[in-house]
Amino acid sequence: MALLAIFAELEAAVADGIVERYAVGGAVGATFYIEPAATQHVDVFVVFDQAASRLVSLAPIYDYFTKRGAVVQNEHLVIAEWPVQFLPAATPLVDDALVHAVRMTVDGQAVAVLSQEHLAAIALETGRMKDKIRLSQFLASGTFERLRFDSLTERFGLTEKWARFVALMEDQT
Amino acid sequence: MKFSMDEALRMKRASRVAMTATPIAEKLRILERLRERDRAIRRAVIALDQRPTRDASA
Repeated sequence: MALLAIFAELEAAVADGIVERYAVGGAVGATFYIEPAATQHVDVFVVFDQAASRLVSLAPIYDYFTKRGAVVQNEHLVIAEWPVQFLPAATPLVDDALVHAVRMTVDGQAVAVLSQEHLAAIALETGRMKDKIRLSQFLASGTFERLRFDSLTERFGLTEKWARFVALMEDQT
Repeated sequence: MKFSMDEALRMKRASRVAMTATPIAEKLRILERLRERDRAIRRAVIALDQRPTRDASA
């Protein structure tokens, strides 16, 4: 499976000190918890040492993976035939999501994935139609920790967006 | 044949619950198949768009 090869590359980047932490997010991350939804790329959130510069640069990551065979394609690095987008932790919510990422194993391959409550909060924060659909699927998943999600919406200033989402859902039913 | 919206929604919910409970490795394989299908459709659409068109004036 190509995705396993990507997970192995991400683990290697941590072992080689290129990134401090990473976690898979987006539709691929959501697939760990809910039904799969077609996607064309893999979102990977990363934390790396920014002590040397106030500017966030993904250059070390690009250098590392291109030396290992990845190809740059617009804003993606193509690894194992999948476009992979590396996203620095740009908001406090994403930063918290990376701290609380979940370690999983798929067919013997380790991988870090954002928790479903953080994925849901990020979906709420992002707010596109596909994010709202994903959020409704998380809420119905049966394993979703609602109290944890509520705590995130309060801590990261998402209560208004949550109220609007609830109103939208009530209009639909 | 009668159509019941309630029954359709019930079956859809049941299907969604079953898919959510599917092992992660299997769901990731499904994700890869979905992507491959999307890519095949996109390639076919591009090929259609690039077909030479008949020149009406010819």
